[in-house]
Amino acid sequence: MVTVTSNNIKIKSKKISVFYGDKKALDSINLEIPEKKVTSLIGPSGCGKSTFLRCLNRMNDTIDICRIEGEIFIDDKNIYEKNLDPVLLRARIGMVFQKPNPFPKSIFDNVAYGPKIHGIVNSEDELNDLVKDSLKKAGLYNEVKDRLNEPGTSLSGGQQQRLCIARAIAVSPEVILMDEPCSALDPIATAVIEELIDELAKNFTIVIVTHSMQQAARVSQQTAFFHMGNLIEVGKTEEIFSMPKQIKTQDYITGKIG
Amino acid sequence: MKEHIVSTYDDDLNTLKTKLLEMGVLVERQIFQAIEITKIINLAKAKKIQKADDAIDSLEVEIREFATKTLTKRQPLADDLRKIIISLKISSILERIGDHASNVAGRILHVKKVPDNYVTESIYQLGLLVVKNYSKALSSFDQDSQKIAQIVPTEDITINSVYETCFREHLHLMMEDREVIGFSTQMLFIAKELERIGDLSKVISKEVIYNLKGKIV
Amino acid sequence: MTNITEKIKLSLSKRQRSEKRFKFLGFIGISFAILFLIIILYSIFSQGQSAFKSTYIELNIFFDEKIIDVEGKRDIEDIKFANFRKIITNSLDNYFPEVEKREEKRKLHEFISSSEEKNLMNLVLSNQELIGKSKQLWLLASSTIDVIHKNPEMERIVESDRLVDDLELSWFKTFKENGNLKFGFNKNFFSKADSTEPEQAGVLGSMLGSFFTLLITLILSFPIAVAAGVFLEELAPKNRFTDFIEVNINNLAAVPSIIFGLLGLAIFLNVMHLPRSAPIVGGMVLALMTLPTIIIATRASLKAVPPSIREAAIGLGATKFQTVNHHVLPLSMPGILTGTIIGMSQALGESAPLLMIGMVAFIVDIPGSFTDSATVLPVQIYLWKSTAARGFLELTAAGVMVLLTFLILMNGLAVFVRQKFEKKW
Repeated sequence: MVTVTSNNIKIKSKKISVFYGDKKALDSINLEIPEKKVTSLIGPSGCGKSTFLRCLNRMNDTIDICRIEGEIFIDDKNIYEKNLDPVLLRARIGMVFQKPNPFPKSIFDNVAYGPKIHGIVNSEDELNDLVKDSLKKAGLYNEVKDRLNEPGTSLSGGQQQRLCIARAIAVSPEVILMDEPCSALDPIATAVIEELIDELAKNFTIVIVTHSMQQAARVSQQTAFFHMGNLIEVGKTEEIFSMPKQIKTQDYITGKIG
Repeated sequence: MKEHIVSTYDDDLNTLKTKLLEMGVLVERQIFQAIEITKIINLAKAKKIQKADDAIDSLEVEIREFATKTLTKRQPLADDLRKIIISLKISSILERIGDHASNVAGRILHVKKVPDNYVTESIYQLGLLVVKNYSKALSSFDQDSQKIAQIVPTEDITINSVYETCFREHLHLMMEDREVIGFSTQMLFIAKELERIGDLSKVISKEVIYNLKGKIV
Repeated sequence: MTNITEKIKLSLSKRQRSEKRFKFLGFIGISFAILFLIIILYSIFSQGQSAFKSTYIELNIFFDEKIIDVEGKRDIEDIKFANFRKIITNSLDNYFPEVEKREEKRKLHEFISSSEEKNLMNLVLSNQELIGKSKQLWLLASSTIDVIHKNPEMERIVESDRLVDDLELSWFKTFKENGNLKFGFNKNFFSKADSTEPEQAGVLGSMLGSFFTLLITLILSFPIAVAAGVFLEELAPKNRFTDFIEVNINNLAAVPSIIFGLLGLAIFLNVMHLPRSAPIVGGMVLALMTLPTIIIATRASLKAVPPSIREAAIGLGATKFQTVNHHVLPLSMPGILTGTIIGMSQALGESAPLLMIGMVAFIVDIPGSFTDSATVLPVQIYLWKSTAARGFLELTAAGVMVLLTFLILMNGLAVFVRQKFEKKW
């Protein structure tokens, strides 16, 4: 499976297989993620797309019965190497989850948490600037600039998700992983987030798992279709959605029984 | 062909196709009847043909509305999307063909009687070729057949050369006998309309091939 | 459709009836509980409220210099060893000059509490100019007189069954009619420890004993239990060994508390030779007992924190320790504190384990530190209950009231702290 962009490849997975106990969730996935582009992962429920996403920042390590084989290279460095600290990895790869999960702290503290624990900033002023900057980049600053001390949970669903995005980008990751970020949001909040993704793609590599084909068609440049743990097809988004090469892909995107 | 999970989706696509075929059959009848009255003038039939064009026009509107509704409802992708898009295009082509057939009838209405020394039936033959090719194009759409569709452009070359022959023949007729000029002119106009129908049939077949060309490997 | 609706309608009335029955049963349960609560509180309160007042008798006290300071040197040591009892008995004799028989005089002298001897001594020590003068003073009556004063119906009992005989009763009535007998606030109750005489007994000793003991319990059990809970729930690997530990902790919570007392006796006293009857040992024993309760509550609270918060922290690159410290623990604090309240309340009411380490003893001194001998409130209440003297009856009930108040205050404090944590969420 080859990608069709000529950009640099940021992430490359090599024969990644994931087992939950005896059950195989992903079978030997080879996928390349191009840099500073949006790649979407689509597929029916249980196909392994979220599992694959979580391999990229080793979030699957937190699940005891999960076993991973294979390698994932980020900038040509294997992140499943014995010596590599996943904590460091997760500072370079941010994640936004399906249901917005801001900390039960103030809006400011939410965004400031990452920089604080990684010691990125040296002074109070630097921290303030960083928080402000991240909120601006997430398109949330104007709505919350007067109430940075209010709890993050007092915001609406769409605002909370943007807060989580601001929180993730505050540590300047190189890659942002999004696991169905809009599935809990109304159409307007979704549109705001999609606009944001367009903006963010200028500076970050983005991998997004989505159930909405229309969303994948709108925001991504590359699309990968997963089915029952296998990577069926990957290619330019407009080709996948207008003339896919595999029957399974076509059946899935046209809503036939697959 | 695999079915959609939502069965009414399949029903909608089938309905769309059925309506198009219905329209296509109506148009085919119009063409055939128009050709017939070039051989045997029948003013009453000509008027009927013109009137029947209204039904074709309203079918085009119906199809357009139905296709738009399906687009909104189903947000189709890949082959479903192509299917609906060519339905829109083909319906508009059929409407134009219908117009051309109606124009033929209109031309006949300008003619009152065939001059005695007009003995050629080349226009009629041209018409038969045209209606045959049109029928093929419609079949290729009905059966999603690339094979049939590919024949249409080839046949159209024949149609075009027959048209040229027709044209020259009538020019000669007009040069030889001034009596037939009025009549022949109308015949030439009719030939032009028939030639246009031939071109449009080619376009239909091209759309069918486009729809099928990106087919699954 | 209507067929189904009909069927539903038929079963509906049955369901609603059983619903009503259930609600009714619940209501009955609650009503009984409230009823018994009221009965208990009423009986305790009615029995105990009289303990807060004492009987005082007014006497004319003559500070006879010949008794207090014979040599006239105003030496403190001389004054200290003076026979103040004589001064009191002189006043009593003067009040009832007609009493002459020795036996009768003895009875009269028993009217005033023996504690007043020391009080008078202190009074003279601080006001030496009183020597040689007279003063009208209200002195604390003995417990017997106090009981008669508080229970007028006793006067009607036949003499042979009564606490005081007719003569004593007549003196009592004389004092009363003359206005020299009154109720006053029971100063000893909140300032003294245990005593053989009911009118001199107080709860301060056991209150401080309970306070010191519980303080030790809290300081020892809370941090250790929370740390253990966090370790077991968040950081330890999940294997058979940790399962084994979990089962054992759960079982420990059900172990009878007296076993912990035996453990304390064996190790803290016999091996480590810590002072017997001291709050520090009592605190350690109770801490052992409370640990499992708090650990279980900690683990349950930690489990209840939604995994989304943990994922968010880990996704940002926080270590497990940071995730727990910054996010999970604060959110689980309300639950942990609830467990702590339960554990501490249990500890407050324990007497059996303290039995083993010697905190069931007659302690007259007020403990000043963690290593002084002390007793705790529930033990004190038990001791008073098992004493024969009639005057201890009301003290027992009053002790229970103090214990309950202690409990409510402690819980109130914990609820307050818990609310502060809950606000943040």
